[in-house]
Amino acid sequence: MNEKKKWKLTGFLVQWEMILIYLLLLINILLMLARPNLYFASGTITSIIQSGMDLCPLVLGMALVMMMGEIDVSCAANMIFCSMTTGLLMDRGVPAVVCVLAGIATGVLLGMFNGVLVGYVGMPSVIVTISNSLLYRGVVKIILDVNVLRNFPDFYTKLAWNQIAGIPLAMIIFLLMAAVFVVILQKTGFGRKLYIIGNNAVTAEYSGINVRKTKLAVYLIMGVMCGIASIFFVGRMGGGVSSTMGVGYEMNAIAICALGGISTSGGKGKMYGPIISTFIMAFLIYTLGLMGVDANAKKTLTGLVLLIAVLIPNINKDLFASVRRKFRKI
Amino acid sequence: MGDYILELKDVVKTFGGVQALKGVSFQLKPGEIHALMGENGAGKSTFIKVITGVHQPDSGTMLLEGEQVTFRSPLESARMGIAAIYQHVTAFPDLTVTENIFMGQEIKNKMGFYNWKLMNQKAKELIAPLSPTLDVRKPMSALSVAEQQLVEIAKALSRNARIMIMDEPTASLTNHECEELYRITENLRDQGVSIIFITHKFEDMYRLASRVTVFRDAEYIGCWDVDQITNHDLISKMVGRELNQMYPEKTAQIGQVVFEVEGISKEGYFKDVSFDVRQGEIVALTGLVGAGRTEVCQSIFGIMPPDTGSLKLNGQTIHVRSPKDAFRFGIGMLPEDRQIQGLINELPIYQNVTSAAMDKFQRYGIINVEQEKEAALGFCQKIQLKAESIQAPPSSLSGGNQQKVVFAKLLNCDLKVLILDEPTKGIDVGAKSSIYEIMNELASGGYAIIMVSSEMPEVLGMADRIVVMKAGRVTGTFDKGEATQEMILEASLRQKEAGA
Amino acid sequence: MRKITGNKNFGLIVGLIVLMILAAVITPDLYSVGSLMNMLRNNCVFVFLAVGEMIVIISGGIDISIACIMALSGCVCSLLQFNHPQVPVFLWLIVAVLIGMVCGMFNGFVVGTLKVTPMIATLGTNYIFRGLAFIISSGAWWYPHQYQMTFQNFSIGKTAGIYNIIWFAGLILILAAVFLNYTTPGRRIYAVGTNKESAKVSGIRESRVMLMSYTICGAICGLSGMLYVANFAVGNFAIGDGFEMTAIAICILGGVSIIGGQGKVGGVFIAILMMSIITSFISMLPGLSVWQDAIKGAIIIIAVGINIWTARSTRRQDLKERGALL
Repeated sequence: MNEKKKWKLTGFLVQWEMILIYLLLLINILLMLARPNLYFASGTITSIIQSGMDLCPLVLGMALVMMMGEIDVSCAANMIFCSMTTGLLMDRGVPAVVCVLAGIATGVLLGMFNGVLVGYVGMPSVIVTISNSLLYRGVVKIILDVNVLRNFPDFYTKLAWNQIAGIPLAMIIFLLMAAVFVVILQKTGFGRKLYIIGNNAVTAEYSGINVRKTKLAVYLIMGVMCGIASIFFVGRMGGGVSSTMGVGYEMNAIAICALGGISTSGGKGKMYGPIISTFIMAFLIYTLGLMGVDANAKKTLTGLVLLIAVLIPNINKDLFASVRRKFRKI
Repeated sequence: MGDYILELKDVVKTFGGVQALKGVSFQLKPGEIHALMGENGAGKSTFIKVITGVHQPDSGTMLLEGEQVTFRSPLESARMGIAAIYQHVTAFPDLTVTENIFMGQEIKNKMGFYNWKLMNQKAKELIAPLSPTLDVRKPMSALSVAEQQLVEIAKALSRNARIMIMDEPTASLTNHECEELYRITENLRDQGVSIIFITHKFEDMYRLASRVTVFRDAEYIGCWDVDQITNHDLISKMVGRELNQMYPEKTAQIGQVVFEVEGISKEGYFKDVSFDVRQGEIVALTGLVGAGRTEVCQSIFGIMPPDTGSLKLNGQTIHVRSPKDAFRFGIGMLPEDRQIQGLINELPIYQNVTSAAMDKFQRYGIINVEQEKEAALGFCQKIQLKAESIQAPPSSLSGGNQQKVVFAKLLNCDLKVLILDEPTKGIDVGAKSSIYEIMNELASGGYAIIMVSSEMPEVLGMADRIVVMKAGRVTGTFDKGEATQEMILEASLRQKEAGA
Repeated sequence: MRKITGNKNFGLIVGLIVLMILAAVITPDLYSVGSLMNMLRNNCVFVFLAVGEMIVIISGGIDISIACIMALSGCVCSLLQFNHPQVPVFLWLIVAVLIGMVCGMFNGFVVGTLKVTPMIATLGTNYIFRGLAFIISSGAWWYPHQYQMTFQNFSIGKTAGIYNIIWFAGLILILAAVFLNYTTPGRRIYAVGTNKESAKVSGIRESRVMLMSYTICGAICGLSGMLYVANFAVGNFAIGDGFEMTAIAICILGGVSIIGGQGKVGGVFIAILMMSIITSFISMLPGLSVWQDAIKGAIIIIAVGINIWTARSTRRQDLKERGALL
């Protein structure tokens, strides 16, 4: 038995995360060739990236949730709820730090409600989060009605729109958070537990892993990310929030994770995938916009990309299996 | 047409190198009830599946009313009038009794719509002689096991089955329900249906069957008229084999009592189970499938904590509410179904090995992968795992080596008590002996071992003490020297005493 | 009495009655014929969506793209009736159903044959259909004056004193009930949903059943698209955004098991009535119209919670009975 499997260049180059990078490069090259003036103009790349950052915290949290084989459809509603908490407190003149922390705490609380229902009560996560999505957004509608909250800390908009030495501030923070999440999922024992639960929850139980507690913990993390996402989101929206904003963000986050190679049945994929996919989506949508495709028509392509991304590993597996079968016969 | 309605000759079936049937033969006379007996794993279930066409035999012939037949699927055998009622009923749980009975041959009106009224009525007529009170509009999942069996029988009747195979139908029935089933089975026979009745219970055989065929170790042993063979002879036919030399010489020193189970009960599974294990000792928990052995182990391990009773480790009472607790106290379990409960098939071997005790390799929550791999490799070498690499997934290994991965996983935890649930299940003969070596070494290393096993030779060959269970209770405890195959089998078939 | 309380829909019916009484006390206006009719008319779209979704869920899948299929067919019909006023409007009805069928067939192919997880597959097609709706409509909006009266009459015309769209909805409910209860394909949907393995042994092909259930769902949603725009005489690519969640919620409330195999048209029908009354009743109370979503969400969570609780207590009962055997 070899102690180590040999590191193979070919193996490295064809893994899904690398394919995503090629895809990202390809989109960049196409854009560069199609609109060289624009591409090299200062600010273009920055604004492309900034446009994709408003939901990035949700993507990070969603990757953990999906890794366990669960799902969270309520995250966008949760995010709006957090924004509302912060906004309402700001209106009453509470110090900004407290308001922001209260917003994140709200996210944790709502995430906990999801986590308890999924982990401890044992309801299917699809049902729980769909109805909680209605519930959370419903409560926001009750409280806000048609009002718009406009009173948010200054750094919200700065975060979303400012840059440091030409690098978008939002991206720097996203990459920092992403690094933390890479460490959590790929390096820590907690991350390993998520892989084990996603692959085989029964074995996880027999291996002494507290599956319920882990599920709750992941939904709590998702809650924190919803709270943080509210900062990115409100900043991106220019410092205002109403009850109907951010509809469909949960689906975008799920799509980005699926494109990033996180299997919806859990246990497969790496954290790098969704991170790269976040950029792919940003560039893809922007590029299409440049080509004169309307924001809504772009959805068609988003959908196609998602479907193809999900299909490729499937087709590959079948192909490999049939080749192997043939070899075995010989 | 010959004397037999169904005849099988020299049927061989192998699964991935393991011979499940080694050239068995069988004859079924028209209108008889024929008992098929044998220990767990004697090949009875495979045999039925060959008859019904779920599996195709590698060689051998099957004659139906004298004509050679081959079934490629259960649909074909059903068409020829063969029906099987499996132990674990395979039905559509959300659909009604009526629909389950008529699945695939529904009654429709001229417009092509289902005629529920007529179907319900016919279903009621079919069920009525079996169970007059059963509501055919109930969904299958709302029925008791006994009732579900009756539905399967009714389904077979609706298809005019000539041959009916019943796989341990009395295993989970009460005495009263058994009586009902006997009556129904006899009625079927009187209507001319030929029945193969698989059972572990002698009372079933004496009550119903005219002839009995015995299988042992995937082989055909013989066929006798029921009134010409004694209980004792039959038992010796079922177990009568030489213990071969695959079991290693025991080297372990048996020490103090490490672990005690005192009167634990779990509603619906087992009652008042007590035994203890000493250091270096292997205690076998045996009995028929469904006697509650696995459930006892799961209770000890915290998967489903017992309702009453207590566990003692080194004389101190411990409370195990979850597997996590169990590992903390030093109790580990090798589960029965390694695919579902033991392995994470998509993750590399080394991650499997360390999955039950990752804390050892963590600092501030970060896993030291090098250290982890090194440790995993050490354990894999210790148990002589044959794998291309510890980076490979367990799905690439043979059954025996997969089991070794689970063993390595337990070695990685600092344990005192090992629970091994069917450690050699689905493993071929060669690999079995290496598993036995490992068990022996572990015992020598001071582990206290509880082994659940259905295989008699394994129990006799490996265990220092043998605890026999029947229907959720301990019915006998034997020391290694005094136990014989007959005594164990007798205890595992023992009727519960009156008033118990 | 036990027969009544044992009925699966008993809880739902009690809930419905309580709601109706509550509504009668607080907003007696709701019970005028006119407002009842309007309530039904405006909620009819959920009959179509929920029935379609129900068929898919029973077969063991889920369809997130239904609202987008609806939007797509709504846009195409609006466009066609505006550009070709001379063509008999009846044709657009067929076009709507065909568009839905094609979309549904695509879903069914991706899920059944290519074996992509239903949730992700339909999330993908969700984008595709919505995008197509936009491309075809080029982002245009249609306003009431752009709709022919004959087209609008499909929904708001009256036959025997009742709006046509209500007739359509009733027809779909009856057809679905007959299909699911009295025909072989309908029963096969249940069989696949309840136990795939048993279905295989019984010679039922899963991929075909999935294709069928998605196609039927698509067709119904296609129909709903046209009737929706005809009802409100407003059409654009964005109509029905989020309706899929309400449809799924109605199914869950109506007792359709999310893992497949269980569900009755009757239960879904009662759930739709409940949802409609909640919507209308609340919108008639000043300042409370915003409570809708929160109340819907809470009701579903509670309903599913009760479901799980009863399932557990039945299991405990079973174990007790088994314990008597030992």
